[in-house]
Amino acid sequence: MKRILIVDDNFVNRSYLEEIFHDKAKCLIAVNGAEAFMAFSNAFEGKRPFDLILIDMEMPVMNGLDAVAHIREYERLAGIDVAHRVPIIAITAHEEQFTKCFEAGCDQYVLKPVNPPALVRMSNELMNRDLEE
Amino acid sequence: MDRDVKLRILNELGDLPVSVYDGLVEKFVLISGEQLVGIVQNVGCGDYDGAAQKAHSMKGAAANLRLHWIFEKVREMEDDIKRHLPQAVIAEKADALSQLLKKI
Repeated sequence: MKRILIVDDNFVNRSYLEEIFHDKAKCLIAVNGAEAFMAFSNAFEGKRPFDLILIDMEMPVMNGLDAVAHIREYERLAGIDVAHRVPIIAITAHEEQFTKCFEAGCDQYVLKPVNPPALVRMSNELMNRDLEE
Repeated sequence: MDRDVKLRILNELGDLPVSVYDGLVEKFVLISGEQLVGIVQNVGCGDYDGAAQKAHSMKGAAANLRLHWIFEKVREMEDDIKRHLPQAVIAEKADALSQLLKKI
């Protein structure tokens, strides 16, 4: 089963995303960017990397942009090339953040409110990208 | 919540079961009530960034649950917080939102 890391500081948003994916993947949770980075690195070191990360951009402690930048730097130092890095979808309320999301290393973005069918489609495309190529 | 409004929302959300949606709304009301108290306290201490962060979080959840009338009010309050309006103004908005939450 695919493993998805859901990162959001709001309990309702986390539950909402979990509900969308509960029958499609094993969902793990982080409540801010720092926790997300820890979860990512622990999973990577434990040889059970995530298949996808869904991450909110505005969070306390460490925001999504910084967390994604840390994750990409970690992958770069570990010798992971772009084609094999974990897909990351940014979840944001601000269209003007799109450029920053891509600059930080996100693969895709969705605007709030999240459209469940569209998010599932996008996630499937990203998670299956190796199989399709 | 009005039955037609809920049906329209559930339709927008695809295959999210009614019971799950109801559970999420219930948690939203509970958590938002606590967040509103926190927002007023943050502003009272001059912590406008903390208050704005809480308002932003609440706004995102309202958007995801398609509670558009709540979303609009939270957005207004977030704007007021970012403009560093006095605590009394924010408290009034928070109180109005609390009343709206009770009616969901």
